[in-house]
Amino acid sequence: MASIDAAADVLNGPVNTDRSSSSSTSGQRRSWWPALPTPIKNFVDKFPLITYAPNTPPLRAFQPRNVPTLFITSDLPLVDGISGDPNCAKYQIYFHFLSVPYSTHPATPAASPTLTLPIILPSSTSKTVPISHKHTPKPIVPTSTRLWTYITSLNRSTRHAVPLKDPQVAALLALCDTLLYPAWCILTFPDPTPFLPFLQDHLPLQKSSGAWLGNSQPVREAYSRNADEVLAGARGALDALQEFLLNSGGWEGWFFGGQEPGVADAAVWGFVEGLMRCKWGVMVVGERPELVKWWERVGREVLKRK
Amino acid sequence: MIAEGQDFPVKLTSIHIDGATRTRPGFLQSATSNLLDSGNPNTQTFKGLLGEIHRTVNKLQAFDIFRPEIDLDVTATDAISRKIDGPVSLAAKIGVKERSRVTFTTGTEIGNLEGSGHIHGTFRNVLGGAETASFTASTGTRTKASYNALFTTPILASPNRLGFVEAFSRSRSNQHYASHDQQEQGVRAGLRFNFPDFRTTNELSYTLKNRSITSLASDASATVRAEASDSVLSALEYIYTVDTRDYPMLPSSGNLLRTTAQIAGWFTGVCHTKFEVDSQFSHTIRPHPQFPVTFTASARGGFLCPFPSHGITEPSHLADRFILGGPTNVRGFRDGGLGPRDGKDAIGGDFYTTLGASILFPIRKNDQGFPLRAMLWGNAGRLCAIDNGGWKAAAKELQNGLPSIAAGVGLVYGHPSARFELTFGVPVVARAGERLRKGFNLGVGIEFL
Repeated sequence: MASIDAAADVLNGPVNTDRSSSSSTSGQRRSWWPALPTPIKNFVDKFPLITYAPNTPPLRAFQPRNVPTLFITSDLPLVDGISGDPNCAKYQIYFHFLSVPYSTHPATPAASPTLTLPIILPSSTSKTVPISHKHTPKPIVPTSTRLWTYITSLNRSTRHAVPLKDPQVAALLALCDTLLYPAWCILTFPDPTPFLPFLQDHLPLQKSSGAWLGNSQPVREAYSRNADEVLAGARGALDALQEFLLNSGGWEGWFFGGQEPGVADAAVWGFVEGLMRCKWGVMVVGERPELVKWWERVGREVLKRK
Repeated sequence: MIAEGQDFPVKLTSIHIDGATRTRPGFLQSATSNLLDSGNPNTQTFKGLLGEIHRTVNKLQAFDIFRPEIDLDVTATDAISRKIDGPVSLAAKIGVKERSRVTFTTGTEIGNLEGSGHIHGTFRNVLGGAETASFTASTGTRTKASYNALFTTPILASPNRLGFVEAFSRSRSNQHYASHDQQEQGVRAGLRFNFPDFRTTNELSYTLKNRSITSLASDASATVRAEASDSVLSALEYIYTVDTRDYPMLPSSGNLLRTTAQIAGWFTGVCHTKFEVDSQFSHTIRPHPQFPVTFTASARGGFLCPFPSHGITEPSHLADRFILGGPTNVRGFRDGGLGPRDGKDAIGGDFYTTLGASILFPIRKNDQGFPLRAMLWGNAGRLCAIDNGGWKAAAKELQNGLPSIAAGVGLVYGHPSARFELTFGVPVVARAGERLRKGFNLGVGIEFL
């Protein structure tokens, strides 16, 4: 409702105002309010007369980092810095495969535009919390192959891994997402369906859906299916993964015969890592020794696990 | 009797209340016990007794369970003669009509920077002791949805001593200054003591609520993303208010002092002490009957101090930190425009101070009856955060230069339900990144600096 808004750039001028207000003076945003006469406008534009340095951010403010930051779930403990959520662990190990430095930040699904973790905040050149909107990093969300592509782009030296667009890789990723992830959800979280579903829908008395991974849509979907069928599907998927591995040279090799670990290896390792943190997973994955040896080998070589 | 003087001794022997069919006799007995109290000096004389009955009738009206028209009849129970030794025996008969037990209303409200519509249901005198159960559902420009169930009950049959319990669920949009919605669900219980003679209110309450930072904008800052989560607040709060202003929307005399002290940390990870003070002083500096000029000064401040739980001090949460700026507190800055920022988002501060001064005068002579005033105003404010340097660094930061300052002129309309301001102002001093509001600005609210 203001007729005049500040126009100066936050960073470029001695007079610091917000970026969003510059549009009104440039004529892009039309206000219902009549414009001020030019002399008055020129007078107003001289303010503020004194501009001090920006305010210090609070302790909890997110400090910009010079490496990409992976927002991973805060609901599960870390082991060797690796999340127990397969969807987070697979990207973490991929960073390690590519030797790309990164940092992690505990978060909830609410932090993500798609309510799914992880997301990546790109690295920042700024050393302080930005006061300008144009320096706010845009999160990269896990839609389709976007995160894989982004992480790969951070290290272009990986030429010997199986390409992401390989149909076999796509099939393996789909296998993990559709068969292993629901099983992991059921094995890790209790049924989020409330005693009275009406309350969940109309009076959000429980934790909001974006605030806890255990209350997220994938977990709800997993519980909407028959648990025995979900777990049977996971057994079948593990069998298929071991088969893929044996055809790729066994536990000492990489999936699909790659000379370097790639996206498929990261995805499988992430899901095995997640499953190995629950009793059922230890038992069922343990019945596939080739897969276990491979998982242990990656842990030793990449994460320096003992 | 009146001709002979009102100070002759009397004794009220009985009170009969007609029409209170749904009200417990025990409650009415307690509410009127002061009249039959033989030790009450106010009931010893006819004049005193009339005053006491008047106060009792007002008290019954204050419960809001009877219609405003209350009949009163005082009669002598024996032959009146000044020759009779001892007090004259009197009987009082109070005729009341109970209000409808259930009321449903719909309406619109104006709050600070917000308009809303609501549906409200009230169940009066639920248990026969002036207890009230009410339910409200509302939606507004900032509050997307709000549901509230409140139960209040008088304590010791006094309308000025209330106990209350409420359950609430609300979702508020903070998208315009911090790219998120805040959802809250919880319960609150407490006691409220009013002292009408001193225009003072005391409220002690306990709140247990879950806050969710959710529904982030696609371009939300990293700090807001990192704080997108649930947190549970378990807090004891005390609010003390003294308000002697003659007309709060456009005061010409009187003072306001409101202090809020909160200590949080039982059973949850959110541990802090939070204190706020809000004061206002109004004085007519030129008491001219045709052209009065009024001066109003305001000062507000607050601090939020986390304390350790299990040896760990968690930094303050976004949901707890103060947000400053906007036409109802520091004019000349946008809503949430002052203080620390991350990109376009206000991320709040841990302590603040604001000062405001305004001079109001009528637009024309002989116009003082109409609540429209011209205004000269000046506002100053500072919102700072505690960083790694702790409180010492924060106190030093507060003294770092002038506070952010804005000044201007405006028109003020003081409607009984809200105050409307059309101002023209410029920020004179600011911090880099603070969001300014130059030129015209419209403010609607109930509390202004």
